Amino acid sequence: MSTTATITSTVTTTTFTISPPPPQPVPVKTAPKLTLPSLPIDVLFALSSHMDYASIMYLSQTCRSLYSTLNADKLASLSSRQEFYQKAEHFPQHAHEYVCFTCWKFLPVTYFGDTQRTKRQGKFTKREKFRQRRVCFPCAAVNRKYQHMMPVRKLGVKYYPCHPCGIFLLENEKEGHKCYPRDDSVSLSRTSEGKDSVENFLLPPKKESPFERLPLDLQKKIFGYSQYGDLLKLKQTSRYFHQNLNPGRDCPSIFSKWNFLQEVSKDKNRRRPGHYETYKSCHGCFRVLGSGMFYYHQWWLSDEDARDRPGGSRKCYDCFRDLHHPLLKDKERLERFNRGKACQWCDCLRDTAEREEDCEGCVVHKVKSEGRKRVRDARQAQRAETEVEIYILWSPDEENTDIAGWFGEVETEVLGGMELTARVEDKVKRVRRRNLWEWAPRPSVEDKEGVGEVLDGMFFRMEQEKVREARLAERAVVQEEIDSLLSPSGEEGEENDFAAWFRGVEEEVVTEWEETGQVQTKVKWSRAQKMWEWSPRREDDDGGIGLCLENLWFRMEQEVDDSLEEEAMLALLVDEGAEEVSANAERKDQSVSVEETPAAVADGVPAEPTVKDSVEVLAQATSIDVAMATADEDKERVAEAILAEALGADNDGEAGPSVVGQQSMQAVVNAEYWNSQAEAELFKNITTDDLLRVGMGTLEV
Amino acid sequence: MTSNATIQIQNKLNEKNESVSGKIFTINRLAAMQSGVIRVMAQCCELDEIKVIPLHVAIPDHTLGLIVEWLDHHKPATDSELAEDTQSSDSYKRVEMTEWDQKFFDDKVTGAGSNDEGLLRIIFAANYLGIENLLDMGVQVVANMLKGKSAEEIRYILKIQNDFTPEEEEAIRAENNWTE
Repeated sequence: MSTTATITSTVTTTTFTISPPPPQPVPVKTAPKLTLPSLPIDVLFALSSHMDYASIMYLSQTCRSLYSTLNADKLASLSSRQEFYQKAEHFPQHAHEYVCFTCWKFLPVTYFGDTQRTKRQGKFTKREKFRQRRVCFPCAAVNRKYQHMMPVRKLGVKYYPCHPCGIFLLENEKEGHKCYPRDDSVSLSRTSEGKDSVENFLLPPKKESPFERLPLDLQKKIFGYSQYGDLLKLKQTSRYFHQNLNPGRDCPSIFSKWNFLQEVSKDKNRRRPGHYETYKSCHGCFRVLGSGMFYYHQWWLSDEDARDRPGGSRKCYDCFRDLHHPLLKDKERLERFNRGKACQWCDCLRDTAEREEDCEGCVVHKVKSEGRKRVRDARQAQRAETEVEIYILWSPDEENTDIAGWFGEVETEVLGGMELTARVEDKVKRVRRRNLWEWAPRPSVEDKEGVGEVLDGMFFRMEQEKVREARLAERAVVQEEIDSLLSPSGEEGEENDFAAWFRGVEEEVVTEWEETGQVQTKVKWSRAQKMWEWSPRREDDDGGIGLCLENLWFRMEQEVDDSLEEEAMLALLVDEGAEEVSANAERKDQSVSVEETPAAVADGVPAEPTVKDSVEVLAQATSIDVAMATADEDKERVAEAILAEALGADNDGEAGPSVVGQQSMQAVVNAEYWNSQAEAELFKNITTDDLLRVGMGTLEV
Repeated sequence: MTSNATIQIQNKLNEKNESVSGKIFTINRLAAMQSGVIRVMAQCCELDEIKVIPLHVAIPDHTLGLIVEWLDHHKPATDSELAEDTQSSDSYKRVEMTEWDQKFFDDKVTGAGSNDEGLLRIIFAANYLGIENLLDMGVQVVANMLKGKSAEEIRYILKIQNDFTPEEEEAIRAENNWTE
């Protein structure tokens, strides 16, 4: 049956004829075509039992039917699977990954303990049976590969496996960690949690900072503008950058890497004392590595061995594999490496793919030289200004030339608000010396030690003069005080108390210091020094009254130390008069007894000197007969004469030490100085107080 | 079209964020054309006779104001100069920063009173709007901020949280000992 339709339009008439479909051929029943997918499943399994892992896997990938039927993981033998994975580990896409032979995954290095990827279980070991034992951290936690709480190192960090919890703990977590009791019913869930936690730990961290939240392409752009050294530092800031930033890859500037390596290599002696021979630079990845990271022949390559590559061409294991391994080499990287050549202008490493004028080394050199020129110009301008200033200051036409004021201004300028410490002072002096030497006007250029040197010396003389003036002013004050104490023209009844004066000095010094042994020693030292320096003496008398005063003071201090008991001291001071009287009486008795017992002298034992003896010696020196003075008035007169002689006042009342007085004092000094036992003992008991008391008539002779 | 012609840009309105208020900025046409996004959208708007160009990414008003100020300052004189400026340039080719740019970034973007994230927002917005020169300058400023700094200083400057454990940090420091 056929149907015919006619479609007529107003413009044209077109006739379409719809013919019936052609008759279908009658299907011929033939045997179905036999293909591999159509084989019975048991036949396929039998077939696969003769195939290795790779063949089953490739077969399963041919069509949907076989993919759903054949599972290489289950059908292949363990040995063939291990063999395949060991081969696949060396495929380029897995160059930086390792196989876990428990979970059969290719994982990055962060998943493996240090012992799992090095030595016998490393990637390139020849002993396959050890390599096949490699296990990742999550599998090790689940299967309890390591001993409980025994440290396992991963990338140098110690981890402690906890068997009941199925997790790895860090050193700081180990202390406060509480394990649950071992229970089989919960162990599975616990271990799975443990596995999750370990995996979570290894997952990329959350992005916290705004910089980390920037899109990756923007981050890469920032990395592209940064220097290699800065990227190395940035990599250490957080876990995110540690995992995602690769300075060697992300820094596009070969000059930046090369320059950084050169700077580090320069300082390697300083940075790694004693490790000079154990670290060398890899010029493939631009890192400094230990000897264990290089092949033997690469390690001993000299830095000058490279033909046209400045700095050398030494390469570490990884770089050597990536650049030269027949199967695993990265051609793009090799090409990039080979493009690095020496710049003919600046001798730095540059990428030959770039234009010569874009060489970063040349740009850096140019910027540096411009900077140096700018500094030199600024210095010359400053010098010109200062030269004019100095010329004006030194001009003979100018009056009131104020060199000191000018130096003060310079000092203020240099200091500029800094705290004035000893270091800054030194710096100021150094700068000033240099400027003075350089800028001071001198007769000619050849006169290197000209007026500049003169100015320099002059300034230091001025400074020394200031110090001397201050010292003299201080000395004048103390001198005045000593003079008033030693003055014989003091009012009658007013005691010249040396001891009190010295205590005052001591208190002054110690007031704000804790009184320790060290401070006391310092005080003694400074006081002795001042006494020696400031006490009145003749100009040529080096060991004069100063030394006498010093000895006097030390004796007083010894007396105080000997007494030790403060109460006894006070009592002694209160009953001073009574005790002195009794002591004098005893001394008198002793002197008489010594005189009356010549046996004691004959025994060779020196008699204990008394006050009387001492005064007699002085009296002999002054040619005054003490024994003849019997009346009180006479005694007083004699004592006054002795005191006047000792203190250096003439009978005429004129000031100045008399010859006799000086002789007597010199005798005391000599006795102390030469440590003459007999003379020292003789004069030891004479104190100025005694002399004063003799003068006031309160001491019986 | 004259060089004094202006166009209007409307920021996206975000009711939850007060800093994104849908504000309208008026800017010189040539200055605005430095942005690749605005250039394309303006052409479309001219066809459709749309008065205001809407932005589809919420940029804070303050940041957008700064970008408008930067665009105004770097306004090309003529269309031919604009065409030269907007030609694609080599990657990592440094853009010369003038004193004004330095002051702009120092005082207004990273200076006192500005938000800590101001610079990164400028970079983000410049990236979205396709303003290559501003993006390059922002990136240079960030790179300069990193220059010569230690890891601790970088953390402080960029507000990066140190999420290493003490042991990890020690191991990383030992690994990078040669760089210090």
